[in-house]
Amino acid sequence: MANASKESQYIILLQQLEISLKRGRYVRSHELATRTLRLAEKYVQSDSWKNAEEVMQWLENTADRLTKAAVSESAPSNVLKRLIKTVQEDFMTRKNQGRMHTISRLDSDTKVDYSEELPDLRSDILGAILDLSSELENGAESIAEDAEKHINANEVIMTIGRSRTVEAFLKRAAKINKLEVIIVKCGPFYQGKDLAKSLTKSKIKTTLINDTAAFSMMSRVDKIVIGTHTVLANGGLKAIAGCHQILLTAKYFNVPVLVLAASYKLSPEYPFSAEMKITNRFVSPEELIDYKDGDMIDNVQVYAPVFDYVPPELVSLFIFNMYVSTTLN
Amino acid sequence: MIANKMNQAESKKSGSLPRPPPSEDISRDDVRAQREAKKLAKVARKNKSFKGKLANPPTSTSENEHPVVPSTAQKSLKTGTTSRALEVKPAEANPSSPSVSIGVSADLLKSDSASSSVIHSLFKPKKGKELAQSNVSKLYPPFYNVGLKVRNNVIRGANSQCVKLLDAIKDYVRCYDVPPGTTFKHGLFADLEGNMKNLKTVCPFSISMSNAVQFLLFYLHDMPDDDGKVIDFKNEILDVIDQYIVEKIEKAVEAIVLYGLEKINDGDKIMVYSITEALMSLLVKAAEDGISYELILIQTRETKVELADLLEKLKKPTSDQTVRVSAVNFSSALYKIRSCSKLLIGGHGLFTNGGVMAQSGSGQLALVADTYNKPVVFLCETFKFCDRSPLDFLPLEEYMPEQFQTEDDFLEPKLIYDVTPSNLVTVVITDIDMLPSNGLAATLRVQEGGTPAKL
Repeated sequence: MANASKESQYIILLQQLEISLKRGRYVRSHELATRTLRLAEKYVQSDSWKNAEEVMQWLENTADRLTKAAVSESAPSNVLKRLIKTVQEDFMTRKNQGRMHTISRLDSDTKVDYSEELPDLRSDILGAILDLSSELENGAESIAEDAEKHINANEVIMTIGRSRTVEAFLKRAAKINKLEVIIVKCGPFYQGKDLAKSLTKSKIKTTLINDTAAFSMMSRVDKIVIGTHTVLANGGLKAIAGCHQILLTAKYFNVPVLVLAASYKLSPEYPFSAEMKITNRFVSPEELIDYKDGDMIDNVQVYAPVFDYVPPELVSLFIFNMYVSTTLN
Repeated sequence: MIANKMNQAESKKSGSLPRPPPSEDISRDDVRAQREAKKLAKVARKNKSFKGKLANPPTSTSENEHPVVPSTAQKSLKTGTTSRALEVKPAEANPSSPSVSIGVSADLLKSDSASSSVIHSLFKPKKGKELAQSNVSKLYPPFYNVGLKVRNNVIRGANSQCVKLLDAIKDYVRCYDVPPGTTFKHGLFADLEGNMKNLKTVCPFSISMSNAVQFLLFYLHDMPDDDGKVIDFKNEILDVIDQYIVEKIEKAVEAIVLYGLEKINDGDKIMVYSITEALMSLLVKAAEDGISYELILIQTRETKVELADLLEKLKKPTSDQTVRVSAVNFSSALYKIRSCSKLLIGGHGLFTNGGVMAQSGSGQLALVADTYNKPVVFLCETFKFCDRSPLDFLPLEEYMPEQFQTEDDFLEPKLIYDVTPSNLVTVVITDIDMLPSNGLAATLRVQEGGTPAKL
């Protein structure tokens, strides 16, 4: 009985997740990542698998399924693919216990047979999942821990849109140094205002500007700190619409750009095209065209994409929660 | 071994909370309790000096030493505090607000006692430019009318603003009675100048308006002393104004359209921003001439172009087919720039260093187009030339309307114009000729009479 319920548990979770993705009922990719992790946990706890190979197969299939449900969201598949890697590693460590620790090499000739049944693998994987989930929870805070290294006193920082990570980062830095923040409120959601309110509560001097004014203000900015939706395999970003332009301006004025990203945002995908028509979301363009102009719509095409592709050469530094890197790595 | 790992994981989970560890909290409480008495005395002194100034109720964050900093900073400054409306309001150091480690905040104070927000101080309203009721009463009512309309964006577009202002001036001249003790010319000059000064506090003057006013004042100045009838003078001035409107505005637009038509070809995809009258006329004429091009409109939330009439105007008379129009949000302009062949921007003003003033955001678009090697074309009439060389939007602060500050204390400036540096502009189409953007000086030498206004 218990087994059956456990099985149905993860199946139910998976279905729910798929439905939310299809219907667009989610707000932040962090939420998606946690839900996916919980789903994976339930699966591992259940008895539906016997060996590592089955686990990895299931993880891969679920990753594909979730990606098909919502092409623009890569957080679920990022998490699952990471788990695949972890399972592989756990398997190797388990297997090599008792013998000498052989370091798995990329060019090793021996084909690893993952279908070997190892008794303690389950608890290992569960432990890894716990680690991952705690990393997810504290992602923002652990990135913020480095804040004082990167921000000096009396600097003017520009940020784009609203990112929870950047918020924590700036608040942390503000405790040590006096700083000022310029927030660019970006369409189509214009969430910059919420960030402004939150930052002024922490006594950071904030200015909220339109995305059209970014060019004018750029000469006064010392650094740009942004969050992103995804970090792609080539070092490029999938960030909120408007980021590319603003970072181009930053390059023009030689302003360094810091990108804060938690680990679940790292994707092994390469960008399909610079315009990203495939993995982009388009939302209602109600800002641009009134409903009363509705009968004109036949002649007018209105686009309101949510994401932007930013090429890697526009970013100076990445700050992940484990380490800091540049795009050359 | 497995149990170990589980424990490890759990401890990692709890221990990965950010600092401080719990022990520090307890000691901070003790310290806080000890320093209450000292703080009360200090705060009482501060409260007395700030009696008139309202302050935010203190926030509940307990680890923030910033509440203390701005209040004492303000005290140490003691400068004209009237215009400090934009300053971050000090959180009154309430006796009950726990502010940690006064020692640290004192150090911060010493280091930057005179600092206010660098960015906020950029937008501080200049003294004497605020809207004062006394100024308004001295203002001729039609001027005030125009001023309010311009300020509230009822009259949009530099050209129509200029025309409306000139109409109001004509009205003024017609009704003008020479005050005793002075000649018509001097009286009119002084009164008009005074009115314009007052009007500038009501609404920001666009370059077109300032140039028109300056032209008129120069003309008045150069007029011979009146020994004839006042009526003659008035008529002369009215004629001059009419001629100005026709020559400099209406004909100029037509000339720009003629030049601009060379630039729009069949099958072009044109990205368009900062729509002025000249730009609009050009697009309409191109559609009327049967050129089939595609239009990509950049919209921002603040300045929504009226799509309905635009589409109406762009209907081709022959085939009843409108030009294909797409609209994209400003943030996603990059999405479309690759497929465009050129970027067309309507300019509000042209400066001696080659900078072009246009609606805020055009600098950004020009940069984007330049990066993808698309030509950037500005349309600007000659009467909008201006004898200044601003490097960015700040010297144009007369053209920024006053920004409002929300209650939450962050500044939200409304920038309506910005300056595009000349190296990003490919060509400027004016009614005289097509110029590179630093061709202003040459144009002035060629043009007879009308010196552009130095504002």
